[in-house]
Amino acid sequence: MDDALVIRNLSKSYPDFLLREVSFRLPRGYIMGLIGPNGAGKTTIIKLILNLVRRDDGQIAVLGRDNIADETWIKQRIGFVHETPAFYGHLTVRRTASLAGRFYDAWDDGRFRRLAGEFGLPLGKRVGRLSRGMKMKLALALALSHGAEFLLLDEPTSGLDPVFRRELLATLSGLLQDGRTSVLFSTHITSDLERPADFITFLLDGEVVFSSSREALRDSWILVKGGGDLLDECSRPLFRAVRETPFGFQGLSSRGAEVRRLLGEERATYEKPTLDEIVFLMSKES
Amino acid sequence: MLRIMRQDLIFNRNNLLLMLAIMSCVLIYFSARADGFSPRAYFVLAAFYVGASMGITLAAREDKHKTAALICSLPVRRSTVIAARFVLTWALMLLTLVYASVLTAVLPFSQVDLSSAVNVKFVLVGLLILSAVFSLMLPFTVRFGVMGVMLFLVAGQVLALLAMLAVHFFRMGNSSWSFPLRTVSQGLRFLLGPNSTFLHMLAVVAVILFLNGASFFASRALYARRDL
Repeated sequence: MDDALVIRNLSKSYPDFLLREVSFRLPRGYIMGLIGPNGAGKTTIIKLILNLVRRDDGQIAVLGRDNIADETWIKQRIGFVHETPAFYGHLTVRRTASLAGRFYDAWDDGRFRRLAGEFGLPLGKRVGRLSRGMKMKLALALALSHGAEFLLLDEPTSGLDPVFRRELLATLSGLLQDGRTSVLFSTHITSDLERPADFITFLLDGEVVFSSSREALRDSWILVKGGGDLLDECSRPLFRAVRETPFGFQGLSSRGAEVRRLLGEERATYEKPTLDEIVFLMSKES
Repeated sequence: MLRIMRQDLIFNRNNLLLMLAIMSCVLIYFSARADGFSPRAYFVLAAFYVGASMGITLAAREDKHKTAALICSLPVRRSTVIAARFVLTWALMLLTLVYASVLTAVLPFSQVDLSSAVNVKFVLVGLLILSAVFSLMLPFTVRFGVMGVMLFLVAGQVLALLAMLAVHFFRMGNSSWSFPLRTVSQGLRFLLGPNSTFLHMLAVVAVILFLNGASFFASRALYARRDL
């Protein structure tokens, strides 16, 4: 299958943070959710893809090309939304779009105006007077107006009202109807990804905990709830993460059959975990 | 490159207009009081003012609005961004020299003798001084943003202050400590004087090109390595 993004053994070190040998791939035409708690390395990966920060090691291929050797070719085909969009405040929305549009061969001004209308963006208003949510909408409209084949969205729903959040997620799903647009969507709001994401990559402390399709993820993990007395030296190693409370425990395991055999069907309950539960329990364990 | 230059001009339009207004006031003041003020220094001052201000303005506004990530996420190479800013800054510096000349010629109360100021020697020496400052300042600006500019300016002022104190209190005016300054001063006087030849001016041009080339490559390398 043709890949929109392939990352191999990507590493980047900061004085207080280390991204360690990250590897994952996103097939063309799909949405991948990049999830993890704050400081897990989501933004660093997106910046590395865009060559906004220099990688220490590893390889990044976007749409089949190296992200540094073919930087401008790739950026012509990428739409990017930063978690805190930075614009020149004294320019109007219209002027900002016209300046950005000049850099793209496939810029479609009609599409930008249509999106601005849909998002309720006032074209004549100065960007500095827009709310954070409106700036995010502007960044999205810019990212969607040059026929991007690959969208990099860094926390795009933060600061948006619930109505627009739902609309945005629907827009993203609609974009993929053509089968050529791919999306890498970073967020710490896992509920945003329950419906649109085809693949999930979970980052924790600069490392990939898992990267798989949503179905595989739901099938491979099991959430076990039971009394505290069930946790002993034999059962505990079967869990990837455990949360104990005065009333019992919650455990996350990828070894469902073994857990069922050991604990039995009557003394514990077994559920398919939500994405939120997986992230929560693993983050707690970390 | 032209798109980046155009974008920088539009982004910084208000500040450039403000600088132009301030510079015009400074020029008018000095042209009216040129009796005690050398036209050579007047021209160097004008060009230096704009050159330094442009570098500071571009870096300061990019730092202030955190827009480096925005520009570098566009389909353009970082080396092109630096090249565009280099060319833009030089174009504005040269335009400033022209503007200063026109203003001086038009003002009815101007005391500056344009024929003595608009002279190949004075312009080249002015550009040499300007290049020395600008070529040092640009890498600082690119690497450290506003903080780099402040560091550069403060360090320059502290050094100058220390030199003045040393000369005043320790009578070091003729000591070996002041040798580099005296050499530079004498060299500039020689270049501006009647004994300098066409070959000397060629050497000045070569030094200007070298300083700017070194500054450009250093700035480009620093910008490419900068994490945004």
